[in-house]
Amino acid sequence: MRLAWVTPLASESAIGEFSRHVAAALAAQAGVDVELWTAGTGPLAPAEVAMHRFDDPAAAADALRDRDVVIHNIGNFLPWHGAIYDLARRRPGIVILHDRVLHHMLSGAWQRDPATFATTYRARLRAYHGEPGAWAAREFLAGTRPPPWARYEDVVELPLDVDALDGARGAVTHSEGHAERLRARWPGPILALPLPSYRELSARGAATAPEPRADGRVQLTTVGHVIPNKHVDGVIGLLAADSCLAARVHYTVAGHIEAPFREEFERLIHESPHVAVDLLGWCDDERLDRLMGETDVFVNLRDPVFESGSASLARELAYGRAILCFDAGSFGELPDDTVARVPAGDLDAAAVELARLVGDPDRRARLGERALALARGRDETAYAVALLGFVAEVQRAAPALSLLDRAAAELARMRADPTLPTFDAVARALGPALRP
Amino acid sequence: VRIAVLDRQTPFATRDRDDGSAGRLCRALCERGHEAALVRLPFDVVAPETIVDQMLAVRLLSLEGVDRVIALAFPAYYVRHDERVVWALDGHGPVSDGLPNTVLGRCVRRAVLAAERSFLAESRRIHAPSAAAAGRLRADTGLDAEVLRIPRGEAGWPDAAEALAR
Repeated sequence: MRLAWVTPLASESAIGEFSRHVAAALAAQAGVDVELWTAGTGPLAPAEVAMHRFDDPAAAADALRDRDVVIHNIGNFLPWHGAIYDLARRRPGIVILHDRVLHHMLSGAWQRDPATFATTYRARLRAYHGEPGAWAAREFLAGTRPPPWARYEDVVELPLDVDALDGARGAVTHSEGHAERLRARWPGPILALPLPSYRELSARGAATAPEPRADGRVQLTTVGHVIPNKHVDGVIGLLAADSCLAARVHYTVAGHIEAPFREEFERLIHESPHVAVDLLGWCDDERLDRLMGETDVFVNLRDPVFESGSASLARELAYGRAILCFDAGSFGELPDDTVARVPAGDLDAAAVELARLVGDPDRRARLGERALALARGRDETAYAVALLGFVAEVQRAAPALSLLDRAAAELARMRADPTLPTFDAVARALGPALRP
Repeated sequence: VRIAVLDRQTPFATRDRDDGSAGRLCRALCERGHEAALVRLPFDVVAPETIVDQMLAVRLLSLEGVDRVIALAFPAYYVRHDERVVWALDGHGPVSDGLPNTVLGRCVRRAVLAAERSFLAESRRIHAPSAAAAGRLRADTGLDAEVLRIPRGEAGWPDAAEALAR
């Protein structure tokens, strides 16, 4: 089987790192010939399998015509995913949706053509999100509402993720909740598969227990690109409000912080001198690995959740440390005894749970062991094997999905009202052929 | 040239005989040296809720091994073919005019009008049997049709066939 894996490969991209690991695991399976395809001209991290660059999605689609399977990795960042989105529409394949929210990437992609942006934006929001979507687009375009992509509540309600599946032959999500939401909106085969925890990390996590800090404090760490949904300000705030807890911990944030948020965090830190906080910014792999190895508790409070799965969570599991998280998205789908979980958005509950973890090293160790056991069962080989099983299912369903796409296109040209019984008739006729 | 003459047929109704315009056209084409076949697509207007289903079914058909299509009736004239000529002898009028004034009926009528605009525009050429029919087509779709009247006697069919086959 000739399999093309289309992905960003920039060294800062977590999806690039995921792709390098999974592509290598796929290539290790019998009868699978894997090649990486990536857009752009920037420097790339090295990969173990053959790599092709493309600038023109139309030419790449032509070149990929004879591949047995094309897998497109799509996330919510236009510079890395815009060309992949364009290619996925020209050469349909399986789409791995790394994010639940694609509103930023897609609205950016449509703005590349200012002449058609308003029409496209309005039509897509109506198509995927009905009257509420059309209303949001109308108000924004009339200048009476901020851009929907600038407000959390809007992008969560209007994620536009189904647009990335237009013409796709199958979809992979990294959480069951995301898959379930898509199943109600897109008829093709969908597989929910947790993001892998890389074997090289879980091997290291098993070998190293955290060294106690020289100052005797418990090391708390938050990892990843920092935006407000990671509640770093909330963590600093809850430590500031509990000087006993603050005196026992050191909090480190590793990941790029957007300028306005960094200023806010620095103000909070300045106002709370009794809280020990480091804002490291983006770290290379070596520094990040050292920090994660020294961590006692990972603080990964995500609300709302924009991602399908969490790369930072998959990485943290592999280090075999306690993880404090909200009960939201893929975090809410982990087995109960692998993480310390509190209701989504409840920072008071997070403070209580954090104090428990800081005061109970045995509980931290137990959670860490279970996290590591989970990580070992979710490595890149397990991911690759499950993905290849899904490829077979997708190939079986492809003719019916292709016919369904044709029917949908014809009905769209008729401007057929979705309440017409024709839609039910088509779904009844083709639905059984699309189910596994 | 292999030509498929497309008409519609309601099973057990009078129009499934060969002495209508479709049969005469087919014979005239053969007499002019073409290889012509009459193809009737089933269509039934008894249940309005199935009209869009039937339009969709026509759109999903594939006519392989046919060089040209001459399509005479709604919705058979929606069939996808690069060399399709429409002679709109039986348009959508009687069907859409007979739809009930209900939510369903209005939805079906809107779909029919959109289909007329979109699918007939794909045709290489459109002919209407009268100036009035051409006017109605223009009013409904904005598309122009050349008038080609139905011959009154057998003598007129060869010229009509040639006009459609050109």
